[in-house]
Amino acid sequence: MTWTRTRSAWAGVVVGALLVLLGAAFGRPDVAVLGAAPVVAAVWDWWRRPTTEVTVDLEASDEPSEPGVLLADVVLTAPAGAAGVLVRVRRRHREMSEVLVRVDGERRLPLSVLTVRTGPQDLAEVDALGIGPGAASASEPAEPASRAVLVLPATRPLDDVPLPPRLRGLTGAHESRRPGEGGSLRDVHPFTPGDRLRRIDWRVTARRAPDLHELYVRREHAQAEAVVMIVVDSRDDVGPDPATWRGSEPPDAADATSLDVARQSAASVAEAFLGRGDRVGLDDLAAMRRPLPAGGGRRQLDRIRQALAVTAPVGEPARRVRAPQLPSGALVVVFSTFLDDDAAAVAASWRRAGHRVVAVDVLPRVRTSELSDRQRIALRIVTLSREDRLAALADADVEVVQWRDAPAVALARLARRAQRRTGAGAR
Amino acid sequence: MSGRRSLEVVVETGRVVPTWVLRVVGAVLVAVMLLVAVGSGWHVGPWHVAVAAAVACAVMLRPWTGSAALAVGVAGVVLLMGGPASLPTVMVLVLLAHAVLWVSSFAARASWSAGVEVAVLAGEARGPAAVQVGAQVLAVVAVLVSGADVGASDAWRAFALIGAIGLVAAVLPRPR
Repeated sequence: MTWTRTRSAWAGVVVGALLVLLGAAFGRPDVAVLGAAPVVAAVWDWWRRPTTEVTVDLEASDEPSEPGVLLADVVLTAPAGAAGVLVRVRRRHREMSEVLVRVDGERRLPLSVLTVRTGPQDLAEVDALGIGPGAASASEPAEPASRAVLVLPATRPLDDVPLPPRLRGLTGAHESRRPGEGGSLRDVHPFTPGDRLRRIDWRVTARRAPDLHELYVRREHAQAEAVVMIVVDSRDDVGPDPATWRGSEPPDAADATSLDVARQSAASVAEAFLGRGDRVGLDDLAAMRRPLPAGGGRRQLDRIRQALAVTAPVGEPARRVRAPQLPSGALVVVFSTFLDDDAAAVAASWRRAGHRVVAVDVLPRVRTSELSDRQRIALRIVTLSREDRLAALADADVEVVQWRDAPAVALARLARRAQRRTGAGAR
Repeated sequence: MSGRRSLEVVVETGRVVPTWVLRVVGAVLVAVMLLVAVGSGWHVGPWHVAVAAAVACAVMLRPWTGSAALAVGVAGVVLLMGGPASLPTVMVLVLLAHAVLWVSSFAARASWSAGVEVAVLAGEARGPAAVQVGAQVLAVVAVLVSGADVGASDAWRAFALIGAIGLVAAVLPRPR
């Protein structure tokens, strides 16, 4: 490992030696002594310089992290005699932090990264450079350390969510229109073969048939569950700045993109349904792979969040000939920017097939303050066509929710429409 | 513990001195050193102050180029041209020259926005302080050899300065 003398240290030695020589030549010990200390210190620092290498590593942190915060430990090792290690932390090729720290053998520096982004990403890239005694020498840069992480989308609580027109099964958290057990009173009906004896309502029987020529039973509504298919359109990943939509420059790292919003909103909706005991599946309009089948429970939410996190635009998406097949009677929630016709066409076709379809617009709030006149005109054209597309969706009886405008309220309003009839959908 | 904070990334470290503070301190030391050198032989005028400030700015803006060493060289040449200096002046110049080079060395290693842990500076200050004790003793010898008139008050000042530097060297943490 080579530790080289720094340019400023070289300059100090040369000037110090020149002053000593100058003082000696002119018989001025007061001038010579001015250069003595830098020369002596430089020689001593050079003699004490370390010889082994500095290493840096980025390890997972043991601390529990909060949503939006990624934690890791920067592990530095430095040889004895090193004054310190200069640590540079970069993220997305931008230098974020630089600090010269003291390292006695090994040191762990907690590193936290605030991010609004989800999905696969590099947590950070860390460079390290050893600094010798008196900062007079420096090591070769250590091999940079980096760490790839998969950031799962966080969820936000949703008070109420709409239900599909048809519920399935005989268990669940919702009351269906079919007779069964577990729900509220459906009607009182004459006893028929197959009715359980414990269902006989003796009061009604006594009132209606005192001579017991007929028995009456209480019938209840059955319980049922909803099947919900979450469909994410991962073909677009655009930020709030329309100047970046062309793709020539990435969105600002501090901005959540449409795909981040889609991941978060889809995970929130999935959590809301799964929390009510419903079954939720996931499909991706851009991917030709099998969808994640509908399932229930906490582990299904983990599967959905994992699948959402790895969803990302990959090259030119294959065009679908027809809309993906969905379980019959499922509620379909489509998350898209609706910047082109494909997602809207698929949503409309599902509605025509009889599904209840909720279209969630995940385009972030657009920033127009720094756009040029040409960009403003282009954005205006895109906005007009998008508004037409969303209006056509509404005409096709697809319910549209803007995620950027209080989505919990909009979804609760749709849910109230669905509750007009017991166990039925909105219409 | 404090953190080196940007908008996105926080590295938890010990107490930190911003590099810009080191650069400003280095520049001030350079200006004082040049003015002391000039004052040993001439009357300090506005032009001297302006030149000292310009050199100090150069050291502050580009410490990695060896500008601090160049400033020490300028101070030495000025001292040479100004004739024999008094003992306190020589001792102060010896201290300032070494301090300028040491502070600028650390300031040159990192960018403006970076930080340097106080522990790094405290751990590394002992070596230069020990060298300074020897250099100050050498300065006293050099002034005596050059035949300059050293009064009792100068001797006490020299004793106090060497004692203070020695005390600092003793108090600072020992290197590993």
